[in-house]
Amino acid sequence: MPTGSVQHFLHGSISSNDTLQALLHLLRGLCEDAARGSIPFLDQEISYTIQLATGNSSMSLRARRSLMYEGYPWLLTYYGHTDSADSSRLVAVRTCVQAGTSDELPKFLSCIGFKKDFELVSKGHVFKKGDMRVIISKFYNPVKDPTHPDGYQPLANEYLVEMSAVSPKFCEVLAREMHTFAEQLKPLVYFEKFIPESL
Amino acid sequence: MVVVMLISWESPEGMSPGHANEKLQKKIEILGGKILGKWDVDCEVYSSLNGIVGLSDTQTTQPANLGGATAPQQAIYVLHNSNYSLSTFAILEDNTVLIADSSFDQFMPHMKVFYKKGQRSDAKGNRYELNEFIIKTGVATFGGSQQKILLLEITYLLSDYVHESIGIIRELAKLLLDNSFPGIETPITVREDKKFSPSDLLLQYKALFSHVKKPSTVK
Repeated sequence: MPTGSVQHFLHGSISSNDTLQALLHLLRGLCEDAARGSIPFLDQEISYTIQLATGNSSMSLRARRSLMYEGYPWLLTYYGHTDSADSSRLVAVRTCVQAGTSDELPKFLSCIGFKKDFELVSKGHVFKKGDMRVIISKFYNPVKDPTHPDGYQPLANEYLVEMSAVSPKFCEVLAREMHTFAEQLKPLVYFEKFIPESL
Repeated sequence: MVVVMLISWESPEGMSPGHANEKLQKKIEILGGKILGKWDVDCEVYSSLNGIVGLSDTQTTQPANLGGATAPQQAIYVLHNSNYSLSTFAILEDNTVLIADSSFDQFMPHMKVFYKKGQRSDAKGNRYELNEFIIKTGVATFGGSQQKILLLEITYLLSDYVHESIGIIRELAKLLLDNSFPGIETPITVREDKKFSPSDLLLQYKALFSHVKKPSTVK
């Protein structure tokens, strides 16, 4: 029985606004739908964890929904452990399960034992290129701050740049395609195969 | 949307459930009902295992037919309905309904340390169209048990509100089931001032599957 897809991913970061503008410009040229450019987003994101009292097991889920468009569904995501078995792979790989849900999601998760870990607001741009997505996001405190030009107080000045692609199982061709694309975006952004367990 | 009521009924004395169901189908056809095809609803119950941090703090009640020596603190009823084939309905004991994409099913195996999968129950049968009604006949079976319950699901296509529809649905059910008609009430989960929604229907199935040992009108 399939229990999710495999997400291939690479992470990078940029810190200056000039670099951001140059990267947006470059991605507009390299990705699909150049006339329209990127897809902007402003999302509320909450991380939930369930755990056993023995401390042996825990599991986290991410819930996010758009703050730009009212009535859009919540998106529930589970990421498995990053697979570190094969270090020769060009990208990091993890199990990924996603489902759109109705508005009751926070109450539902709370009733079945999930506790809120943290909440933040993410704002940024999504680009598509074939099966790949490039997401550039900045993270904010979820409390509205009208004094700040973005409407929220930033948690950091850096932007996270995530390149990802999902397929039913690990795909070497897709990994190579992502690696090649990541090379094209240098030196604006340097992508890394981020494996949290190795820290 | 439409209004849908689920009625569980018992076969007359001396008649097997299969025979009683066939007789009902014949009657619908004689009245002019056209068969549209098959339907099915299935339900899997996941019960919480001991030791989930903070779960006892939440407002939970004991699920019905789960068995076992220790009563679980929470249960998740995961239901699918062939009418909404791309969706999964996850329902809790307190009738909180989460409607999700069908990929929600893939979360459950990852939660097996916290929630144990119970037995699967299902209901299936034939679907008919009769003027402004869709009628489903069928049998519900409960995993691990020989028990079978006869079902009649009536959809009234001309209204969105239960209080406007329950009278005409009751009349049709009476006509179809004769002496086997058990009576129907507005389910307690349905709010009369709100439009009927798919959740209201799946809550009726959840009530059916969680009261396996007491076949009666879904209230």
